[in-house]
Amino acid sequence: MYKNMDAEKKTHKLPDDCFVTIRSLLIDLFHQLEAIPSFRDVSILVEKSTGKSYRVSKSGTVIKDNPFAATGAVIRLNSPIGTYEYSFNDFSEDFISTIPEIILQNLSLNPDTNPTCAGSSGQTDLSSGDRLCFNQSSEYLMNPEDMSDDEITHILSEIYQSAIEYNANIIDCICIFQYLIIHKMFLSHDKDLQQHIMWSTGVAQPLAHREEKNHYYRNTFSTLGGAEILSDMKSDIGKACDTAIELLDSVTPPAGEYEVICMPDVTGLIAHEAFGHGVEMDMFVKDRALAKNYIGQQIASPLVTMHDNAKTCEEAATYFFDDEGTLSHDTVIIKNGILLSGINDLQSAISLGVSPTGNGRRESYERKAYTRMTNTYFEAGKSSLEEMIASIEYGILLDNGASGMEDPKNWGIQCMVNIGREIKDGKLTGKIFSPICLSGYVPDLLKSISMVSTELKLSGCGYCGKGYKEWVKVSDGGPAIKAKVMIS
Amino acid sequence: MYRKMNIQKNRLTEHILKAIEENDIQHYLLNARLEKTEELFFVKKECTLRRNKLTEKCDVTIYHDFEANGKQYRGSSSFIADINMDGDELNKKIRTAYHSAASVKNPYYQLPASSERFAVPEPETLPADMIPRYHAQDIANIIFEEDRDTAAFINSLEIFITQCSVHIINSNGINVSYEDITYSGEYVVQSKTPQDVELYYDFQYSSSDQEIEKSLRASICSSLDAIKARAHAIPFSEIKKQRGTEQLPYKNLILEGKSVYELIAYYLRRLDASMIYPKYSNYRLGDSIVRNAGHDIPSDKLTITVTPKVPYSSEGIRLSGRCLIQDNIIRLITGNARFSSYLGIPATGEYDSYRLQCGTTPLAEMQRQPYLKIVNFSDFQMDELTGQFGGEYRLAYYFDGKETIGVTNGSISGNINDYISHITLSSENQSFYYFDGPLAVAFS
Repeated sequence: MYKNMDAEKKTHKLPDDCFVTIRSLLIDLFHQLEAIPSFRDVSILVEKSTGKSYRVSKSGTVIKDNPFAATGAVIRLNSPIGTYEYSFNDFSEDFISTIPEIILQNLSLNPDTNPTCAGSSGQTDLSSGDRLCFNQSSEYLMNPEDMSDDEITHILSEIYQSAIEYNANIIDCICIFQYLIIHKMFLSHDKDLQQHIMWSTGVAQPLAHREEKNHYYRNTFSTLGGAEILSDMKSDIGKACDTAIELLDSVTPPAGEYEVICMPDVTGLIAHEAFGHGVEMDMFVKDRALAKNYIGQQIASPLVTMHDNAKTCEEAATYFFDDEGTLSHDTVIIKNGILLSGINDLQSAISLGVSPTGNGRRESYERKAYTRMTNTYFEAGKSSLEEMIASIEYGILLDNGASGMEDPKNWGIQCMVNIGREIKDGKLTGKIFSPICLSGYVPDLLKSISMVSTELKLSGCGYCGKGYKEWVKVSDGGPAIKAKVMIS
Repeated sequence: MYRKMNIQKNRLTEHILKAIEENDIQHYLLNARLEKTEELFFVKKECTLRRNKLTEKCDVTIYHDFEANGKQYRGSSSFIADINMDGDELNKKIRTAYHSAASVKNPYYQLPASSERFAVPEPETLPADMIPRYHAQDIANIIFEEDRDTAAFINSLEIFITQCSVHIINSNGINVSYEDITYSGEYVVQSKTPQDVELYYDFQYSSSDQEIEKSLRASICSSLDAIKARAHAIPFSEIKKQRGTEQLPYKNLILEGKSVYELIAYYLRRLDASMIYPKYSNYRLGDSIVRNAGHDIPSDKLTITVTPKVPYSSEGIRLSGRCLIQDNIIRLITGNARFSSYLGIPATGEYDSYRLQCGTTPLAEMQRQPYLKIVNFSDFQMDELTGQFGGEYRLAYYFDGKETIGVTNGSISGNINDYISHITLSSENQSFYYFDGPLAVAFS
């Protein structure tokens, strides 16, 4: 059902003992904090992520730690002046022993100017009462840590070389492989959880040049797994080069409303930007999301069913529990065009009096948790891509989504798309448009969806920001969809 | 009130240097960062979360020189060392990085060297001027003092006071350090009538910025005015429908505010050695940035000075204010040690903040003819490889020659290489963390 879903083959599990050396220290710290009368609902999230990033291009080769690799912890608690968090990365016994005092000092400093905080982290309010303990690991086929850096850079260099030799117009090919092995431990009075997850992503981006014009095509790969995606990267490079060269002849499309076919990555961009951000319920709490007023109402075509699913996808944003210790969910956001539910973090769930959906995520232990998407996608439909193209008199097939920006308050949408292929009388004409700025009013766009293809693909190569910061790994996708959009 | 950082500032770098010596590593770069934050999160005027952070990390780069087929190479591999790594872990990381670097066949280049030696500040001691001038609550108070109008108000606010200490050491004699404090945050303004709308803004100041309070107050007032305007704005497509036309004519496209920085930063990026070496950019010293002019439309010329916000690059290269472009003519190629060495130019370090000389045309003059002036984009995009820019705007003003209408939900796109030869820079100025320059630019 999902890209790279090949569960039978992924039989290897990650080591689950990486917290052995610090676990007892942190349990002691947890008990010390819990024993302080002013504190309640204490929890500790510990993160130990390792991974690497490899990049080969004309500029040379770069090997470095994955920028999202992080080791540290965050304590959350409720105090008389409200919810408080302390992030740190020193696990020495000396430092950890001082943390209760540091927190007490931070909370009592300048009592005249300290703001009065409200809210509850809700560990007590929402817990079942039974202590939940587990230690789970995702599976993979090939661990990049079992390969040498030389082997990985050699594969990327081969891809680079085959792109450069493909055509004289290809002047470079940026080849990137990244993986991250995430170990997390969550401790609270009712939970003692550990998870060990590995995701890998790849990019092969040939750059074509002619006279003063540059164009690139970004081919992406991702999986909840390991270095197995490297072989996919190798096999697709010729097609990527052809597309980059084709784009040198692209023109800007005339602005206007078009019937379009969105290929799965553009569908994913729309799912993510148009509605995913719109149902992040911390935005409901702030009165920043229009969707709050539309629960139970028809907001999309009956052909649309949309999920945010951190639980069962074989993709890069899958986990067992979120950064607040809530177990992951498969949340159906839209069912047959009816808005059923938003997604939330724990504080938002408490504020709104709804069940937590396990979407409280942090960029790292260093940052606050917000409501965040995971793997967000539309369900597949019944049409073939050929039927969809044939049904269009004049329109554009949109492929290779680049970026987007949400507007949950006003349901505006902006997506930048790299490739538009002209469709005339039900056929692709060969004319190519680039770049394309797709915009519109979200319900208009979602209600205009008139055909949905059978093929469903997810891509997890990107990161999602909350506004302009707080980057977390997400995937998105769906089938091809036929809709009406504004293009400029 | 800030407390002393109760960890020893140099413990991590000393630990790493010892391991480097034990492994007989000849060439290395350490960039250590100690960071302490005070953070407040508000919904309306209610504080919903208070946070503090204390972290210490070091970016370690290990170089490996080798020869293959008669050519000299300098490979490198980096990792992040944290304060918990013991000697064994560090040794393993360093050895692995050294071996990895042998698979990185980057042509040889010189690491930055310096005769400058700066004493590393004593552990746990902050110079008097490095004590934060404002705490997060002070910033909140300033912002909320301007938030008095029920028609337009602050929906939510996040404030970050970040105190950092950076120490850069390399095997070629660089040993520099600095401390800085940034006052940053983001806020959303909302207006409920006649339409319920919002706009996003952010702010950032460093310890070297003067008049932070005055600037912040002005920004808040201006944002609240903008949201009132957006509440009355009409979708651009509606105006087209009302007038029964597909195209609304205007002579000037005006970009006002932060998009001016993003637009012109294209040249900053194109003039970095990392773009020129792989031939993504073919700019050379002495070239004009304007290609294919070929017409007689009068245009302002760009004069850009890079203006660093920190004293050293990540490699420890001394950064300074320098002229990048003078009257459209390229005067400087910036870059790190590797790419500068490949181009045979001095390494200047990398820059992301700059001053653009204002023009002589007042905004009022730009607005004499029909125009579309965009003041707030949802996400202005500038592609440094292709020069394409564009985005959806959340607030703009359309003047048809008779009346000015607030408009929203439209979008623009174009290529800077097609427009730069007929750009006009406003005489009015704006200034924020990364930029000092014209308030607006106009394209005829």
